[in-house]
Amino acid sequence: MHWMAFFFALLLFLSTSVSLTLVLVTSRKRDAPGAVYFMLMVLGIAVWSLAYALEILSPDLPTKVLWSKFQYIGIAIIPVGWWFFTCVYSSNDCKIEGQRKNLYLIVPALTIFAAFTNEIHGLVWQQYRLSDGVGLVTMAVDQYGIIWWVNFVYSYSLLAYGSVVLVRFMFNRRGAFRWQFDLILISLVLPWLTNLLYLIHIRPIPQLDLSPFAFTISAVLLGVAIYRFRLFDLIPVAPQPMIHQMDSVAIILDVRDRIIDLNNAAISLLGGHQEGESIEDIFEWWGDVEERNQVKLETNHDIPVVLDGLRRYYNLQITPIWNRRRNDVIARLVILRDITGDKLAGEAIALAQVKTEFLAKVGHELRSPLTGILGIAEMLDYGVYGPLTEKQLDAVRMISESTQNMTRMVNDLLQQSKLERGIFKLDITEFPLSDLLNQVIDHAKPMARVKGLKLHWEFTPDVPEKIQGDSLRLYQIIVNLLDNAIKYTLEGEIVLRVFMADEEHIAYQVSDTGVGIPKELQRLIFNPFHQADLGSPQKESGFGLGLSIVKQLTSLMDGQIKMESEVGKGSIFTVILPKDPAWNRNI
Amino acid sequence: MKLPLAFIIEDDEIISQIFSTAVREAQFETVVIRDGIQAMERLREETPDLVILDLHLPGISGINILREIRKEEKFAKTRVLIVSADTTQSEFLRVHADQVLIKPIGFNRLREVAAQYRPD
Repeated sequence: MHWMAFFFALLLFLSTSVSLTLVLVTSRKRDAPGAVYFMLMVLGIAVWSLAYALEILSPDLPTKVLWSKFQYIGIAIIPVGWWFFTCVYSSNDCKIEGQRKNLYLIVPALTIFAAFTNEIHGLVWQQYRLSDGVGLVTMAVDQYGIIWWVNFVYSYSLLAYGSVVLVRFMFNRRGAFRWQFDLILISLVLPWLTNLLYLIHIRPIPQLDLSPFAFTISAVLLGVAIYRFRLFDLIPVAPQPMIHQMDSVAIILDVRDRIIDLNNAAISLLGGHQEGESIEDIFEWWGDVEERNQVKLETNHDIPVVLDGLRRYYNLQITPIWNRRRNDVIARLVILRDITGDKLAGEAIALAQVKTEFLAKVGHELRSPLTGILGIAEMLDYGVYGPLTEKQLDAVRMISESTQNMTRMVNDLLQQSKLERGIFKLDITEFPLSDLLNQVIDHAKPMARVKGLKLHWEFTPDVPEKIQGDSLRLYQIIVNLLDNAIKYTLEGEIVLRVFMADEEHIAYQVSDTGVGIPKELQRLIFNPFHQADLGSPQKESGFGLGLSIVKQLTSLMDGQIKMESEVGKGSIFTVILPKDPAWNRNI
Repeated sequence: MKLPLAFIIEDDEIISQIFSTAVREAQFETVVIRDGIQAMERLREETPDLVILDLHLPGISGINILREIRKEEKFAKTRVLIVSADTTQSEFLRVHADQVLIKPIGFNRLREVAAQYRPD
C-alpha cells in the first residue's frame, strides 16, 4: 500500500480522535441547550472520518463499498444534528419539539437503510468503481441514485438553514461573543468552501473528498468556542420570547458586568448602546448600587435615577444565574421596573394627608380669635360698652358680618378636612322640615336683598311635615346652594323649590338667573378647592369648598346631586335625598 | 334676690370675658376660671348652677372636669354647656353635656342659650 493511503488514513484517524475528544468535552456540559445535538453532530463527523479511513485502507472494492456504507451513518446524521443544535442553541422557533423531531429523521434513516441495501436497488449508487489514482485508491461513484440526491438536497438545506439561524443569532450578540463569533463564522465557512471546491471539481487530490477534514476542523473551532470561550456557559440565559415582551427592562450581564443580552424595553431605554458594553459605562448610577458586588445574592431595591434631567424611580432586581454543574454564578439578570408612577402617587397621598391635617389645625386655631372678634363686636352692638352712634353701630355690624363670613369659611375647611379624614358621622333625628326651610330663608334673605335679587320659595304640599335626617347638614347643603346662587347672580331671581322627586325621595332645588357654568367647567366644580372663574365682576371670596361639601354630604346621605346650567341664563342645582334614609329603614 | 351661679371655665382671656359678660347679661353671677386645676378646686368648694366649659384647658382637661361633675351627687342640678372649637371631641360629648356649642359663638347666642338654663 502506498504511503499516501497511510498518510490520509492517519489524518482521518486524527480527525476521529479529535471529534471523539470533543464529544467527551461537550458531554460535561450536556445540560447546556443544544449540547446533546452538538455531540450527535460531532459523533457523526467521527463516524464519517473513521469509516473513510478504513475505506482508504481497504484492499478491494467490496470492502471499500462496505466502509462507504458506514460513512453514510455519519453523513446522514451530521445535518440533522447541526440543525437541531442551531435551533436549540439560538432559541429559534424551529418547531422540533416532540413528534415533529422524528419527521426530520426520516430522510437520514432512509438514506442509511438504502446505502446498506444498495446491492438490491442501486438507489444510492448506480455505478461505481475503484478510483484510478496512484497511491490513494477510493470508491469512485459515476452515477448516483435518487436517494443519494434526496439526501444531498436535504442535507445541504438543513446545513444552510442552520448556518443562517446561527449566524443571525450570533450577529445580534456579536458584542458579547466577539471571539466566538469569529470562530464560529470560520467553522461555518470552511465546510461550505470545501464542498464548493469539490463540486466545481477543484480537487487537490482527485480521488479524495476533503469534507471530513473540513468538518473536523469546524468541529474543533466550534469546540474551542464552546470550551475555551464558554459558549455554552453564556447561552443558558438566551432570551426567551417572554423576557423580550416584558415591559420591564431586562439585561443579562456576564460576571464582569458586561451586557450579554437585553430585551426590547432595555433596547429602547438604552438607545444606541450595544451588547458587550459594561453596564457601568451606560448607567452612571451602577457604581452606587451597593449590591452590585454581591454577585451571588438575589437583591431587590428601589433606586432614584435622573434621566434626561427628570427624576425617575426604578425597582432594581438582580438575580444570579447559576451553572449547576460548576456551582458558580455565570451571569446575572438585571430587571429594572419603572416605579415612578407608584412613587409619585405615594408622595401625593402623603401630601394630601398633610394638607388635611393642616386644614384641621388651621381651622381649630382660627376659631378662638374669631370667637373673640365676634364676641366683642356683638358686645359693642349690644351696648355693653355704652351707647354707640349710628355710624359706629354700622361699623360694628360690618365687623360682625365679616367675621361671620370668615367663620363660614373656617367651617367649610373643617368640614372638608373631616370628610377627607373619614371621621364624619351623620346625626340622624326626626325634625320638622318647615322649620329648617324657614331658617334657610332667614339666612338667605338679607344677602339677596343686599344684591337686589328676588328670593322665592315654593314647597309643594305632598312633602311630609316631619322627616328623618341630619338637619344641620341638610341646612348646610341648602344654604351652600343658595349662597352660591346669590354669589354668581347679578340680577334676576333665586328660587328654592322643595318637592317630591318620587314617592321615596325629596328634591331640594335651587335655580338662579346667574352667569351659568360653561360645559368644560361643569365637571370640575364639585372638586374641593375649585373655584370657577365665571367672569363675575367682583373677586369671589371663599375656598371653593361649597359645592364639594354639598356633593360629599349628599352622597353620605345616599342622595344625589344634579346640575343643569347654561352660560348667561343661569343654573339649576337639584339635591335628591331619600325621605326615609336607608340606615333607618334597616333598623 | 341671689343670682344663680355660673362658672366660666375657659383659658382664653378675651373669650372668657365675653362669655362672662354674656352669661351675666342672662342674669347669672359669674366666676371666671382659667385652668383645669383651679376649676377642680373651685368645684369642690361651690356648686354652680351652670358651667360654661372649654375642652382644651391647661392642667386638667375639660373632659375630666365634665366626668367629675357627672360623678358627684351634689352637681345633679348643674347644667353644663360645652363651648369648644374641637368639633370632633364635642360630637362625642353631646350625650354627657346639656348642650354643645361650637366656637366661634357670638355674644348674643351665648346670652340667649344661657338664659334658657336659668333655674326657676
